[in-house]
Amino acid sequence: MAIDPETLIRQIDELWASLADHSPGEEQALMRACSLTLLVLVNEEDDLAALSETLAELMQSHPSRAILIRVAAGGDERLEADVKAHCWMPMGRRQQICSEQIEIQVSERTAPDLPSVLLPLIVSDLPVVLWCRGERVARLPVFRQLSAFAARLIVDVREFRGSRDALSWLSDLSRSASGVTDLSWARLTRWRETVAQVFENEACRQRLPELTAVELTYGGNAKAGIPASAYLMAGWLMNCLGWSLDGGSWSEKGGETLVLRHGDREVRMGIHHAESPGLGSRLAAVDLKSGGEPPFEILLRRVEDYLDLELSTETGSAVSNRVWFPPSSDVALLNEELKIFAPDTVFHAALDTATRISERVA
Amino acid sequence: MAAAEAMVDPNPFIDSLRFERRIPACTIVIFGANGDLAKRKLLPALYSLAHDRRLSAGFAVAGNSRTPLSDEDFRARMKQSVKDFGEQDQYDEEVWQSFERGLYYVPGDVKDPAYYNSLKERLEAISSERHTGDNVLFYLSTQPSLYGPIVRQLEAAGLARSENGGWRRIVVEKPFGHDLASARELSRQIQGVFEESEIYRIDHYLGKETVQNILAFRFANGIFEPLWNRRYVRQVQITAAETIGVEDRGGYYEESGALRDMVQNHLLQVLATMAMEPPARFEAEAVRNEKSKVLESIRPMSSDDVSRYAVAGQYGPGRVGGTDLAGYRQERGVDPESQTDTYAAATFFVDNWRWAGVPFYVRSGKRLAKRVTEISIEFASAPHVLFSEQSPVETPNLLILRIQPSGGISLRFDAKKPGEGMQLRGVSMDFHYGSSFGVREPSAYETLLLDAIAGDGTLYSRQDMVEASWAAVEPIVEVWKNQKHDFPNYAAGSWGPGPSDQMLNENRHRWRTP
Repeated sequence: MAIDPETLIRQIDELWASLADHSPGEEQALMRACSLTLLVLVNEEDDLAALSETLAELMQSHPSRAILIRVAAGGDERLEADVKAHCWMPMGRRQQICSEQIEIQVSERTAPDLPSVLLPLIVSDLPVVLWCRGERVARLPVFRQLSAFAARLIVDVREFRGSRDALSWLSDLSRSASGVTDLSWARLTRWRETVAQVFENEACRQRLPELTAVELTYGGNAKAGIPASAYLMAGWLMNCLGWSLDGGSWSEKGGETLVLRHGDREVRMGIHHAESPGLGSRLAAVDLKSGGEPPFEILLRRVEDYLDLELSTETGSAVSNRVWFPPSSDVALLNEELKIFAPDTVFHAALDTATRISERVA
Repeated sequence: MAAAEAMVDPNPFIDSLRFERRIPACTIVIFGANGDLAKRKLLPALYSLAHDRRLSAGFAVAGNSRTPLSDEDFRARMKQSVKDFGEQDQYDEEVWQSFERGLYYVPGDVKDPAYYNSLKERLEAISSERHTGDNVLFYLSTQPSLYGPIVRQLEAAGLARSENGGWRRIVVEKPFGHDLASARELSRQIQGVFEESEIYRIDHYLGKETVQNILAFRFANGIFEPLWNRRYVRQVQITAAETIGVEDRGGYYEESGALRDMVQNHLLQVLATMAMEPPARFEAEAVRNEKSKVLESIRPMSSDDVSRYAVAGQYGPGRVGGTDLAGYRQERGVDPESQTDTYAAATFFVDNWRWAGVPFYVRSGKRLAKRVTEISIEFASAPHVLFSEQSPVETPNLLILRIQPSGGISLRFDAKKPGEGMQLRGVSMDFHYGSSFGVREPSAYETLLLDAIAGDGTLYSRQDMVEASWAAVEPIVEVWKNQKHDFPNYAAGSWGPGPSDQMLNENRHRWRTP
């Protein structure tokens, strides 16, 4: 089997012509919207219907030519393609807006042929983003080949086995390719933003130097170890607080504690597991606290679909707040990532520190 | 204030690539908290911001009105308002319970100096309890006649300045006066207490996403700006049409009318946004400087000009979709002989190098055929018409900037019909704001409240802008005031009075039907 890119392009044109024939409204041209080429590299076993639904939803905010590449394990000769369009009606309007999706099926054996197929299919003058789902395909040579096309590489190390190896792999990748990002990092945005919001208050900001301990709690299977998201959060907090990895660490039941330095002071960061039914392997709580008097503590806790914030700044005085905090869908996470084309220095610094933490506690 | 801010350590947790804007904790004191605006707009907007995690944890509201209520009563009323007027899919009992802990009520007569002592005590307690850093935003949502007295009392009670390093700002709802003189007097009173940079004159039109998008459209794209001048633009039409009548605002409307209620503020602000020069920076003062220049460039009308360049209208009874609609004079609270304009149209000329000679047609009215707000820019025709035989009717290129109900941008141009021959047809290329970005558009009040809390006055009117827009409409106000109009002169459900069409016919133009 082989794919002729010119045939695919012709099929796309024919698809558009047929859609235009069925377009409602005499005076309205069918809208073809495109802001980027989105390459999606997935395992063949991935749920195709769910994935297509995600892409269709994503296209409403980031209209694109999506090229879905399903990679089968093994060495068969599979190299096939199909073309379809996602159309939607703007609210209260008859006019359709459509984006196109090309599905390509390859095997690990035929995957090296992909770049020559994709090159003519990439939309000119627009950015290319590669979203890679799953550890197996991320570790295939074709992933690195396709990376060369992309201005942004989106992976999700949550799906990798072993967060320490995952972070190490992600660090290597970010050193060798530009625009690397991870959906585990995007899942932390709302947590991080909530922490940052607390320190918009000048009185809280003035008490930053008093912080001596950070405690991160995660849910899920304790045997699976500390998830990458907890390491990334720890790395980010350390960077923001100016804490360094100069001390030691020790393991205890259900977690790790690191002794860190802040100037000439000793500070601590704990990463512990807690039973949280239904939470999965996700961050469950972040607690920043001072050791002295009056107490200063910021506690963020995920409770079902809410995030609770408790801010204590002196004895007997606490502000509590609850906000809506449902799990982020892939669409929401990708929407966030697709808005960013500038170098994400905060992520890279957090990743670097997170990788060093994971190596320290191993 | 800038020097004080520079001394504060920066927030090390900020990730400007990913985080929304930085919003400090504060207390919003709403004067007129039992009124319609607070119930329908302000509280639902604030709750919506809280739901979307846009407010800081210690955020608080202190509501005021004369009605004696407890905090609990106030919370219960506001809860109902959020349920009634907020976005249905956003209401969440758990989030509300957290939000309502920051709602307080401080009843009292705002004309009574003693009231401000109790307000001060309460604000100190709230600041301590909620860690607001003594930041306070006063929101004047009362009758305009109370603005001056409230501001004076705030100063007298020492509430206009923080003693603890917090900031003070004041939001003023329109109308900013009822003519140029009263606008200046109001300004004098407020500026006597607050710095201009602390005064936020709210025009909710400017908070609409699509009005802001005019700036992005013009100044983020290189292809339109070269066409954005008298050489290529033949005419500009700004329409704000409502299908509703005055409803239960008859009493208020009798004192204002369409010209004062819509044209003087909203539509001239939209005009200024559309016609301004590119600012040097996207900062409040730079943007407002350019808007102000446009408003000051509007050619003043003489008394004779008014009859030629302005048309007043008032709706009479009509019938729409099988339903009989009352005329304005039959509405509750309206004088049966009323001379108030429910429709106003005017032709403005912006006398500067960019726009000299280009008519800006502006119209606004109640009980018109369709609810729509838009700017329509008609471009000059091609200099030589190749296809006159195939398409004898000239169809000019139009750029439509739609503000509501569904914001977006359309470009209308001619294309060849597929097939033999050279038959042309007009096609419309549409960018639909809401659907193209797939996210909920924040309401104008959400945007503007956040701006005020963040200290960003870009979308608020400055005093010189207010005065310039009053100066532009005042000649019309004066002539109409002394004129006996032959009202009603348009039927409810129509597109307005005939003389409005004639005003454009003089230039061989006609109103676009949105």
